[in-house]
Amino acid sequence: MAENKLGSVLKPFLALKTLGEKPDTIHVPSEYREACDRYRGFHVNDLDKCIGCGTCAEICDNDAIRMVPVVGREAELGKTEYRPVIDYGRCCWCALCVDICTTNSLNMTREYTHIDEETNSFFIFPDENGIHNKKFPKGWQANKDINFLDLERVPMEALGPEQRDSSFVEIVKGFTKQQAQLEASRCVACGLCTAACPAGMNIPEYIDAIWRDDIPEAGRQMYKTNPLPDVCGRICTHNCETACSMGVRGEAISIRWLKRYAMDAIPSEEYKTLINQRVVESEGRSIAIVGAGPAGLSAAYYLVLMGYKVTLFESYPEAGGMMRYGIPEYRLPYDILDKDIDFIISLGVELKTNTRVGTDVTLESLHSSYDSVLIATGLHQGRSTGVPGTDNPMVFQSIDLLAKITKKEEFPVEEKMVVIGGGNVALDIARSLARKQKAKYGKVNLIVTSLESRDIMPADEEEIVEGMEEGIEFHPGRGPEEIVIKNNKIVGLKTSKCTRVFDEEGRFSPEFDKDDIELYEGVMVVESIGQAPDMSYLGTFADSIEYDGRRIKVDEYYQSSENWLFVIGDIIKGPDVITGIATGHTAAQGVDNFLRHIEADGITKIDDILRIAYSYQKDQLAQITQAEETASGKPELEELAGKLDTLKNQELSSLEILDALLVNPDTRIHLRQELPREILKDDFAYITNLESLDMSSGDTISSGVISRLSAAYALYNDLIQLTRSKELKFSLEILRGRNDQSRKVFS
Amino acid sequence: MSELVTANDGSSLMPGAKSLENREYNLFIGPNHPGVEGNFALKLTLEGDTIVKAKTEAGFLHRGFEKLMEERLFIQNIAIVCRICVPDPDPNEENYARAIEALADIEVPRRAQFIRVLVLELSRLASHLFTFGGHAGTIGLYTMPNWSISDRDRILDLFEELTGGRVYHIYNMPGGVRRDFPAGFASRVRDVLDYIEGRLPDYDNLFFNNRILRKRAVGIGVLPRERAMEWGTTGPNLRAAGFAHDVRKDDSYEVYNELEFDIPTLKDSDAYSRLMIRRKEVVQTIGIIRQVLDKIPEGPVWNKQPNPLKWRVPAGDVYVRSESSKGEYAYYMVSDGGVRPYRVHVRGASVTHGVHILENLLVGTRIEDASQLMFSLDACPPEVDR
Repeated sequence: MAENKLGSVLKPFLALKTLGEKPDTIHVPSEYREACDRYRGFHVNDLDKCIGCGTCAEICDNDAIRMVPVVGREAELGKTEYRPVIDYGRCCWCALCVDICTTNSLNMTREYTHIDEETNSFFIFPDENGIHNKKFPKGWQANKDINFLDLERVPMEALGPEQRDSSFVEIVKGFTKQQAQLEASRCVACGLCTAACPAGMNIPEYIDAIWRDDIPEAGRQMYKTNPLPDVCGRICTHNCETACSMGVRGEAISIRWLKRYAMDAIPSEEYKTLINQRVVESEGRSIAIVGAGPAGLSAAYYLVLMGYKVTLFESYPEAGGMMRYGIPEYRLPYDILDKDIDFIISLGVELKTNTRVGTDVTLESLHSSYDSVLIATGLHQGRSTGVPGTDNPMVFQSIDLLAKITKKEEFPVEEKMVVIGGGNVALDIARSLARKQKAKYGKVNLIVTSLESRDIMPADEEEIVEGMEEGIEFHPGRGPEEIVIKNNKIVGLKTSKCTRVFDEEGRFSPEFDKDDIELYEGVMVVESIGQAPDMSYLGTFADSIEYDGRRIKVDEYYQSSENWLFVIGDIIKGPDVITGIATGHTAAQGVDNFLRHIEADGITKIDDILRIAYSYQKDQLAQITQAEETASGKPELEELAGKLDTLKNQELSSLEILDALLVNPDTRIHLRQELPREILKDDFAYITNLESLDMSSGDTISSGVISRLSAAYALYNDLIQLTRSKELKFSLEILRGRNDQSRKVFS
Repeated sequence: MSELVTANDGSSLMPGAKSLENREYNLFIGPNHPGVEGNFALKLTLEGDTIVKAKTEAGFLHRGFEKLMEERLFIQNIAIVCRICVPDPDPNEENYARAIEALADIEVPRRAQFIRVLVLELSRLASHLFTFGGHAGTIGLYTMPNWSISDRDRILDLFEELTGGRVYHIYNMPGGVRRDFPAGFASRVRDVLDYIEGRLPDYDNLFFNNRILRKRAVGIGVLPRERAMEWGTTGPNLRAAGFAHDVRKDDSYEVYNELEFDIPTLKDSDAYSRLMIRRKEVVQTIGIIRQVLDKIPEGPVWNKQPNPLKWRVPAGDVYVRSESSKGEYAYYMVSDGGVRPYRVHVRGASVTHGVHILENLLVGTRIEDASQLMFSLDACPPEVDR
C-alpha cells in the first residue's frame, strides 16, 4: 500500500468517484429507518396480563420504573392495582425488565423516537399501544430459552402410595436445607402472597430469611401475624401459592413447605430464645376464649403478648380443635401441633380442657368473671344430606369419625364403604378410612361421590390424586338419592346424575337427571357435605345478640353487638385454619381497643390515638396549605411563608410516620414492648389534648398555632425516637417510597 | 481565544503586548475539542508554539462506575459496565461477565464463547473505524470521518440486529450471551466484512497514503521503544513500538486460542505507525470474525443462572483481562459472597495512554499536533474517569 514514502497528492481525489452515489444517511422526517426485530425501543405493557408484581421495578438498575396504583384497577388474588410507569429520563434500555417479567406482559417495541419540549412527556405509562399510540411491532421480547426466573419447583419428596396407604405416617418429607434455600432463591419478593394471605403473613421476608439461612428471623417474621406456623407449614390452604407471581408462567414457590422447613429447623426447646417474644407485664385484665382451635389460640397468643390474662376453655381433652380432631395425622402429626400449642401456652395462657361452655360452665358466668369473652367454637356438627336412610346407625358423620380416630375410639370399619362429599374433609375421612380398610382387610374398597364434577371438586387436587393412588374410587357429579337398606342393613347408596351444582348467578342450586341412576355398594355410609356450628351455649344471649343472616353480626374487629363478646374462627369466617388465625389476631386488637376504651385512667386505645393524630395532621396540612396560598405573593409575609414551608414538610413526614404505625400489624405489641408505660400514657394524652384545642378559630395562622404545631412535630419526633425498631423503619421506608410514587404521578 | 491566553505571572498577554519577559504562557484545550472521544481537557504550557509542559485534566465524565457497581446487584451491572468505554463497550461486558464466571465457576457454552469473540471483534472493528475518522478530523481531513463513521454504522446495524442496541449492547451476561443469532445473521456479517474489506483501498487512497497525513503524522509523538514497557503501554500503541504483545495470544480467553491470527507490529512508534497498526488490525479482525463464522458450533448460548434478584456470587477475588481496541483491559473483582460485588476495579488502557504517556509525549510537540497526538493514542475519557 505504501508504494510512496511521501504519500500521494492526487490519489485522495479518487474519492470524487463517490459523488454520484446515494448517501448512507437518510432524510428525517420524510424517510424513516425501521428498527431491527429485537430492537430495544419504547416499552409496551399488556395491562390485563400484567399482575403488577413490580419485579421490573425491582431489577431496574436506574430506578426508572415505578409502580403506581392505576385508577379503575383493583387488587385481586394474584394481582395488584399497581402497574409500571417508566421514566425515560432514567431508562437505559437494558431490557432486564423484559427478561425478568413474571408474566411476559412487558415488552419493548421498535419505536425509538420521541421529541418533546415538555420533560414530563418522558414519564410514560406503557400500555398495549406504545408511547405514541402507534402500535409499533414488538422489538425485544421475552425469550423462552433465556429466562431469568426459575420457573420450576424444587421437587418435594413424599412417600409413595404403597408406603403410605396403610399407615398414618406423615406423607410429605420436607425440604433439606439445600433444597429450601434453592426454593427460596426463586422468590422475586413481589408480595402478592402477603396480599392473598388471610393473615397477611410477611412471606417475602421469611423466604428471604430462609434464603439467607437466618432461620430465627424467618420464625420471628412468621410469628408477627401467625402463631401457628408449624401447623400452617403443613396444612394451610396456601392462597399465597395460588397468588404467587411465579405461578403465572411456571410453578408457584412452595411457600407452605418453606414455612414448614423453617419451623422444623427450630427445635421446640429453643422457641423461647429464638423467637424471643417478650411478654409485657400483665395489666390484670382477664379474657376468656372459648375453644382452643386455631382462632382461639391465635387470639390467646396476641392477647397474652399485650399483657392480658388469658384463659382458654376447651371441651375436648386436648387443645387444637379442628387441627387435632379434624385433620388426619398423616397430614399434620400431633407432635408438630403440640410444638405450636405448647409455645403459646408457655407464654402464660391458662388452658382448661374437658370444659364445655354451656354445660360445664355458662357463658353468663364467663361474662361476669372476665373482662371480655371470645368465642371460637368452630364447626363441629356434621350436616346430613337428609336422604332416606340417613337415620340408619351405619350412617356416620365424617367429623365424628375423624375425632374418634384422633381419640383412638373404636368404630366399625367395613369392607365396602361409601363417602358422600367432595371437599377436603371428605377426602380426609375417605383417606383415613382407606388406611383403616387396608390395615384390616388388606385392600381398599371405598367410593367417594360428590355433587361436583371432577373439575369443580372443592378438594385440593393433590388430595384427590393421592386418594386415587391409595385405591379410592371417585364418582364425581353424582347426587345422593337414597341409602338402600335391606333387613336393616345398608346395601349401598343410590345416586342420580347431577347436571348442575350452581345456577347462573353462582348460587348453590343443584339439578339432577333422575333417569341416570347408579347404585354404589357399601355397608357403611359416611356423610361429609359440610359442618355447622353448635351455638346452643349462647343461652339467653342468643336472643339479645344481633345477627347478619345466619351468622352473628360483627364489626371489623369481630366484636358483636354485645360489646364484651367477640366471635372468631370458622363460625364467623372461613372455614379454614389460616382465616381462623387471622380472625384471632384481628379480634385480639379489637379486644385491646375495647378494654382500653373503657379504662378510666386516661390511656385511650392506641389505634384511636394514632387515628386522631393522623386526622389532626391532615387538618394541619390543609390549614398550612391554605395559609401558604394566602401568604404567597405578599412580601410582608415572606418570612411566614418560609416557616410554613418548613412546617409543611414536617407535617408530611409526620403523616407518613403515623400512617406506617397504623398499617403495621405489629405496632400495638411493639409500642407496648418498647415504650415505658408512663411515656406512652403522657405523650398520647398530649396528642389528645392537642386535638381538643380549637384550631378552627381565626382566619390567619397565629404564632400560637405555629408553636403548637412545632410542639406536635417535636412530639412525633420523640415518638419515632422511641420506636426505633428496624421493622418499623422498614415499613416506613416502604410507605415513603409508595407516597413518593403516587405524588410524582398525580401531582 | 485571546482571553484564555495568560502569562504565567497572571498578566494579560493580549495581542500587541510589548513585554517578552514572560516567554511561557498557559493554554487550556477542551474539555470539548476534536482530539478525543469525549470530554477531556489539557492544560498546556507553551513557549511560542511548542509545548513545554502538559497537564491533563480528567473527570468531566466521572459517573463513579466502580462505586455504583458496589451498590447494584450482579445482574444490574451488566447495564452499567458498557458505558465505561463508549466506542468499544464489549470488552467491559465480557470482562465483567468473565470475572463473575471465574468466581462462581460458571461454564459458558461453546457457542456463546464464539459469539462473544465475534462481538468483541466487531466492536474492535467499529472502534478502529471510529479512530480513523477521529484522527483524520484532528488534522482537517474531513472526508475520512464521514466515510469511516458511516461504514462503522454498518457494524452498529449488525449490533442492533444481534443485541437490540446499536451502541450499548448489554449483551454479555454471566453464563453466556442474552440471545442467539437471528436468522441469516452470519451471512449479513460476512457481507459487512466484505464491504469493509473492499473499502480499505479507498481508505488508503483517501487517507493512509495521503501526502498531508504523512506530512503531519510521521515522526509525531514518538513513544520511545525503551520507555514503552516501562510506561505501561499496551495494545496497538505497544505493537506500534515493535512489541508483539497481545492478550488474545499471551493469555488467551474465550476461544481465541482456537483461532489463527498474527500479531502485526511496526517499529516507528509515532502517530502514523499507531494509526497504521490499527489499519493492519482491521484486516486481522476481519480474518478472525470469518473464522468465528466458519467454526461456530450449534448449541445453547446461555447457561441458566439463579434468579438474579437472589443471586450470590461466592466470596473471592479475581483478575481477568482482555485485549480491547485500546489496549489491555482488565477487571479486578472482589466478592464477599453477597448479592452485590464488594469491589470492582476497572483497569483500562486509557489512564496509561491518555494521561501519563500523553503528558510525556506532548512535551516538545507543537500546538497544532497536540490533538492528533492525543487521538493517535486512542484514549477513552469515560474509561479514565471510571
